[in-house]
Amino acid sequence: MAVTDIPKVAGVPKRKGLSKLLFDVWRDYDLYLMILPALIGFILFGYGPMYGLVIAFKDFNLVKGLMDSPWVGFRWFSDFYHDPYFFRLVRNTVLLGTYSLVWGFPMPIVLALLLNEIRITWFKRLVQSISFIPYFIAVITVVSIMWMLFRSDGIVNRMLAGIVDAPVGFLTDPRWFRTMYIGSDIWQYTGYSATIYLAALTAIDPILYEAAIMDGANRWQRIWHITLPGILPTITILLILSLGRIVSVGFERVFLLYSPATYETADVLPTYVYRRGIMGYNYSYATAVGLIDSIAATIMVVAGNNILRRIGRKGETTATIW
Amino acid sequence: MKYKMGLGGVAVSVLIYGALVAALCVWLYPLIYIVSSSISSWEALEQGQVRLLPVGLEFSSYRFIVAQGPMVRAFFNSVLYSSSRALLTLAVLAPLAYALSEKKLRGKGVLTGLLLVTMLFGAGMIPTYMVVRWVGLLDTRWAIIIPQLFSFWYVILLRTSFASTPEELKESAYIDGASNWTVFTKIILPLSKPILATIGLFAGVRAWNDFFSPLLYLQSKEYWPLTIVLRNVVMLATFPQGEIGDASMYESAGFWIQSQMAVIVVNIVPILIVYPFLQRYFTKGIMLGAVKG
Repeated sequence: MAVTDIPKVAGVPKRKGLSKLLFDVWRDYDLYLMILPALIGFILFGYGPMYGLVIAFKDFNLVKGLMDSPWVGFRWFSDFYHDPYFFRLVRNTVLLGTYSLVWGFPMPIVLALLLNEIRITWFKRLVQSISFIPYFIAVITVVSIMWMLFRSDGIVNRMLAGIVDAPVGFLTDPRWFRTMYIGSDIWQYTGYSATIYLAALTAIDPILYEAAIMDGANRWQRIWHITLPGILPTITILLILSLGRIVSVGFERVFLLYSPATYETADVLPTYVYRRGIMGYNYSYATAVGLIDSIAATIMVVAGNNILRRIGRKGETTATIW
Repeated sequence: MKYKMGLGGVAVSVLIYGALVAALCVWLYPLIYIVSSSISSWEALEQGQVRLLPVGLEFSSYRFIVAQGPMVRAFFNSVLYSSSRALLTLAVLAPLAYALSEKKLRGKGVLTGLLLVTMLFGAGMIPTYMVVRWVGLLDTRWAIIIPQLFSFWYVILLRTSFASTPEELKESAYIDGASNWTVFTKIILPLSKPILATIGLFAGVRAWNDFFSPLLYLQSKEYWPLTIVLRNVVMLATFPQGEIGDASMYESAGFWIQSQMAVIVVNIVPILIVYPFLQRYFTKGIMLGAVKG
């Protein structure tokens, strides 16, 4: 059916297949024209950068250009391994990603379960609507709001004034950075993910609950035996999608929240790539560092999906991303 | 579904409502505080008197923002970027999605695979920057519009929706001699208004919120969108200097705080205006995509 299905028997194309293909394309030429603009875009801005990855293996400079810059093999990768910040960057990236997954992932499930117990429709709808707003607000706006709330003369420190001696350096103390990052992440995305779970919950047959109540199941038993199994496929899909985030933390949020004072806990691979590459013009080095991050993220997602698929084959009800 | 609750059940219900009300406050308080501060008097802000509601009404920072040339320009830049990204996303991706939803398209599997790869693997910041530079978009308005259009996620959502159009409708059109293009524009598009509106709104909001691309690709101030100005005002404390506003204003700390709050509000309000539409279509859209890619 696909173009690649043309038989490769001894290099001689099967006439019938090829002429059929040409005829099909000619007959529906407008269909193929409709693909063209988008395809060019995807090739240019999706595959173009992938081709550009070769500069990670070259000593790239803008004057010589991509073609004439000399090959250097894995030099940038080994340089990065010996970089004084190597350990700090990897540690910060993995810890920040892991902590935000551990703290952030259960939140929307809890919210959805709580909302599912609510029988007053307007209240349920109100909570859903309000919790969902932050998802559509820009990261820069969320960080700006935090900035106003948590700076040394901000409202939070003013309220704490009677309790602690000196203003807390929420935005300047490395010990606070992860809390701030994860807190703003949770504030922004909990309502969004909860909505997905709630949509999945509506697919559960109410008869199950009625039967459970008849059999005398209490609230916890109903949650444990009906609600949770009902949203398990959704939980696994979202978990897999979040796995990639362990190694690819959001650049914008870190970039906007961090400062040289908090690099100790806040500097992560993408921000380092930005400083070395865009600010410092070390394009090749920065590309190599970024490539490590991209590969790790892709491996996490693909591996997670394959694990899901394997579980699925064993007969459990589950879903994969592709 | 009605059932009897014991005393313990009632206690649990109270706890559930309590937790949700607390969560509601956590979401709402920062937003209310920002809006209240943006219309409070300078003295109240300097002394930190604003806790929840505005103290002493004062709208000067909004008047100041409106009088600032660079500020207004940034606002209209943002409007331009989000509206053009919304329209172009649909114009480019909808035809592709339609072609992919057609069974007779040859090479569909290969094409879908090719596009899926772009969604799973991003080459990263620097190579993308190099491509934008190579194409000649660096430091132009197009750099904020074109490279971000090609999201396979949107294609999946559109394709799933287009594929649900009844075959009989299309067949009868083909029998009457309609081309694929005619079927697409006369049958598919009019039937798909909700999903088109959803994707358009999403792309528009994403463009409105985009901070990364302008940070990376724009040098010239006249192209800056609101997000960049917001960062300058709040985090770097540099207000775009206009011709209007007398020097004494700059000396008041209260005025500064008020202006920072006001710029944040200006960033949020357009989102809140389209929010009811976003929310209406959202659940539908996300479920379509979550089921199968």
